[in-house]
Amino acid sequence: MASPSDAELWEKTASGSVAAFGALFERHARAVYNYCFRRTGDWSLAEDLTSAVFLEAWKRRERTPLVGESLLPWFLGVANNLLRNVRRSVRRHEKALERLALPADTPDFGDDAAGRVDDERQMAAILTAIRSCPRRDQEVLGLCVWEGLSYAEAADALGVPVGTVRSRLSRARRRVRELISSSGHEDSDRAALLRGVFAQAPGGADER
Amino acid sequence: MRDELRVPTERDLPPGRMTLRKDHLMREISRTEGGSHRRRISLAVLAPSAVLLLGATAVAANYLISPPPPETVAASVACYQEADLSASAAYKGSTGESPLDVCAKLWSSGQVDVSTTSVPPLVACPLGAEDPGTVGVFPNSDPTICERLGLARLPDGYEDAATSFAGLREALNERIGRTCVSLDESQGIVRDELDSRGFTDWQVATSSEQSDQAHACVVLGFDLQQRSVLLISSPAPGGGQENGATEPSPSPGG
Repeated sequence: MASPSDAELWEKTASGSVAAFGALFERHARAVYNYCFRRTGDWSLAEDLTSAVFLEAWKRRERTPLVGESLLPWFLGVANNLLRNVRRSVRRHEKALERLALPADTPDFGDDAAGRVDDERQMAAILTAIRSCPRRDQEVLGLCVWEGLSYAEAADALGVPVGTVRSRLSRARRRVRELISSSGHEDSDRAALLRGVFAQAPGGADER
Repeated sequence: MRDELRVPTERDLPPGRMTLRKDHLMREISRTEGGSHRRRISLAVLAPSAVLLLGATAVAANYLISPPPPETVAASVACYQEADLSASAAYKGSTGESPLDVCAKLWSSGQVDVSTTSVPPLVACPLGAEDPGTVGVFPNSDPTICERLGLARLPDGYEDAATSFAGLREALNERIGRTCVSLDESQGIVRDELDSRGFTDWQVATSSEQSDQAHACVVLGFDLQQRSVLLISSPAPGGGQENGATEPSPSPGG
């Protein structure tokens, strides 16, 4: 039996189906989690933000029609809003997150822990490089480059025209190149940083 | 150094943590929206003057005219996916309709288990201390399932109690939930409805967070265990919603 589409699940969610929303969580939580990590550089915070994203999404279910085939761009758009003021967002969901109350025997990251520490160090370097970009440009960078959304999907997520997405991404790329040039990195490191920042091909081609 | 500058590859949460996060999400949703009312008041500050959990989803509440014990009141119905108290459940506020009928409808529309619209045999049990005021409906043909789950059986007359409470909730929804009503006026309305419907031993309480001139409207909450209706001030319409995340629609332009 084929899995229900996002559209089918969203229709049920809008009608109040917790089970349908749970299925959407299972389908998209990983992407949201990793996006939140790449934007914050903090795995633990990313986990809490993921919960907050879906709590917010549930609240908006009745007035959010599905655009396109996948809800992921919209979930990432909700994440963007939360990321604009992380402290306030986490505070807003503080009580709910406190009720999570992970038991003592909660599975931890085990052998994964060292790798996650490395991840955080890597992201810290990249985020340092891009943080001088305007926030809106960082958002486009995250959605198009790291999450692989197309310009149209990123436009839906952000609620802006496609042309705006293109121009912001172009500006972000230029800015990162300027930063690398001015940082004194050698060519090999510059290339590596560029590869790191633009690791995934966006839906559009390289902008100049 | 070069490797450190690459974007890390994606990771999963360990399976246990993903499950915990999902279960937490389901509980929070049910707590604030689905009518589930765990041990205390369940509040959902929606728009100003919204009654707590309008329409078919309502906060589980306490009691009624001639009470059976609170834990037997079907003020809220939880339609479980499995005959297991730790399983996922879809919640609905009671309108006096049989909990079995309520859940049969949810099963048939795929809202209990998205993978099926078949309605299994169902058994209803009061959740008692597990979730006061809520009746759990479990897919099972064994009539002793309540005892096997450590739950009591439903007493006679619980349907009347549920119907009475649904009437109270609807009346308060009409008089307070649909418009912006001041705290003073709300107190009078709630007391009037409680007394006229036989809830004479119920109290009207106000939240400690209040009395801000800007917060002129009231949201209602029901506390089963305390047998009280709680009045909470909320921002008046157009007063500006406290905003963490908003719709993903930032201002245009770059």
